[in-house]
Amino acid sequence: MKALFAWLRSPHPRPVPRKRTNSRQELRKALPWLAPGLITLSVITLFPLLFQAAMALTNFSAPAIRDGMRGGVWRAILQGLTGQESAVFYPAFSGPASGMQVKFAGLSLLTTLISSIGSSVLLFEILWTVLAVATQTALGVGLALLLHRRGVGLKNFWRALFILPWAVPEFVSALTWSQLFDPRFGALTLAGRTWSQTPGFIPPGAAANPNPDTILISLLISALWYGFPLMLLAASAGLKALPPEVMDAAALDGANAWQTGRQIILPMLMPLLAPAIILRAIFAFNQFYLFTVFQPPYPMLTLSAISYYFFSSFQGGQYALSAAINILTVVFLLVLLLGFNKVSRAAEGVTYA
Amino acid sequence: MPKRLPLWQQIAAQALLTAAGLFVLLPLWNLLRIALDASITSVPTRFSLLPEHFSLVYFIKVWKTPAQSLDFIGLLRNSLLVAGGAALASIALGASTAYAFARFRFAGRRAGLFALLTGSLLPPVALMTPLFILLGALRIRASLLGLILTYTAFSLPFCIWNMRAAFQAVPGELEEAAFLDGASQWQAFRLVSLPLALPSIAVAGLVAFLAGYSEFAIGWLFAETSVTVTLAMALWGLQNLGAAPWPEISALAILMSLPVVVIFVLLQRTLLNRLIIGGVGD
Repeated sequence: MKALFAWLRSPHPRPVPRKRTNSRQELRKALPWLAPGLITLSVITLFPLLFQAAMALTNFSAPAIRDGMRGGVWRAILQGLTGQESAVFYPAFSGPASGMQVKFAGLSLLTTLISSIGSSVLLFEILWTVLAVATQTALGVGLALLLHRRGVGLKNFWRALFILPWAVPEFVSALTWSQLFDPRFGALTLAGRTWSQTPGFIPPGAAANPNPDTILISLLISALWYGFPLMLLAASAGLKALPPEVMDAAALDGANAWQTGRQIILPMLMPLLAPAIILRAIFAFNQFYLFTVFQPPYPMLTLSAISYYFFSSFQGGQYALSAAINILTVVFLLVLLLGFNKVSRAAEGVTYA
Repeated sequence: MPKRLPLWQQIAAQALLTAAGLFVLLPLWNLLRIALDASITSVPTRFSLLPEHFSLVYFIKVWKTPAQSLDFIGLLRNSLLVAGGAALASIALGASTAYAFARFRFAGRRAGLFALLTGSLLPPVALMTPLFILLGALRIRASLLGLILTYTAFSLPFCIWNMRAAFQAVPGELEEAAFLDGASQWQAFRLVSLPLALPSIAVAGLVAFLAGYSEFAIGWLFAETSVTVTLAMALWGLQNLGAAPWPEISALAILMSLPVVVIFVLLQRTLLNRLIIGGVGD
């Protein structure tokens, strides 16, 4: 989703004039305005999230679908919490539960899930997020700096070209990159095979059995293509706002390129760049379409991709497991946002603008 | 700083930009090269820079029968209904809430904003699991209405968040002037703030529309019959079932993206100003 660009909208919150009216009185005034959106959100977002949390405490799987749709999840929770039934042990990744009735599983699913993905999927998630954001920021900011230099020709042409990936749906870009990187029929492999008949040439993409490194690199390149325009745009906007006098003053004081970059450009870019980096990091952590199209082997997956994977009928519809993974996603997102809020004032401005 | 770059620096800069430009064009070239090549019957077996047998035959094929029971127009109609319905619902149901967040300083506002932000950053899959069951219990999961509700569930928080920013950008003094003239809050909203915020609201709606337009994974799980399939779902069907020739997949991908790319190129300047540069000024 290119959607949340809007995050960058207001890095400098306008000061809110303190009004005399007290906030409870304001609430009464605001309530009729708030009502339509809040009621809808409660029904289609909040209640499903609550139901999802309940699902994560059961062994709900496809065989019990009829029971689950007729309130079986609530019944199981109620019976479990009031002690009418003891909790069944339902560990994560043990396959779908076979019973026709939803059973209360307590915290067994969540705890086994955390302990089994803690050193695999979560580790990959962190590695993935850091590498994806680093490559996208490096290319985006690098190109923005290059395009900001006085006298570089064809600026408008390059800018228009570099924004192009932004216009292509993520799904379509993932699709075409997966075709490019296909180990058997992809253009890279075929090109390698053609040129490998020239003596002395070592084929680049001729990996018939792709190893994890090759997969990671091809995922990173695909994500880079889709993600760097946002960083380029954010950095360009920041550079545009940079007063040329400051640069001239730095040049007069005899600052070299490194000093100017480190001590002037970077600090002045940060207010715009920080929210963009946070945004890209959250997107990378939640990246879904890319992983669903590429289908890399476990555990080279994001939480949202494995949630979808175990929900689908190929894995027997492990609804409770999928719900438990989603609960983890929500918790991580909350922790990330609260953390960013503490660390970065830019994020605070964005969050509470 | 000199006005003109030394020649070698200009050459170096252009070389770097060209490399980045080729990187941007690489997947687009790949998409076109495969879609336009009639010599590929299932998968490409030889490398070629340009189509070996240039032809539009695959485009005609996916225009007529892209999926089992619908033609391209039928799929497009479903996509427009689902994505447009979700975008309109998000705008209509969220506008007054966004206005309240922008104009009133009520108790619980900060917590509400944080919840909205969290909601707008959740991956769509995070709501898929419970909605599958809940909409299934209501027997509307496999219908277009079910998809509209699902897509609204994940675009509404984002739309409220964005529209709040749009209303906030309208100076409060304008409304105060209207109050002095005896306007009610509703009149101030409808006659002052709403018209001025409308362009930004339209952009929020457009982004919500695009999210629904290219969503395939949830729709794919929720659908039961081939009449509720959208364009994105049909494309995923071709890719996922593995039986379709590559040029067919590529041709449908191009046909599906074309409207989006045209919208983006036409509105590029507006989108950039409204969505990114926004507060900083241009």
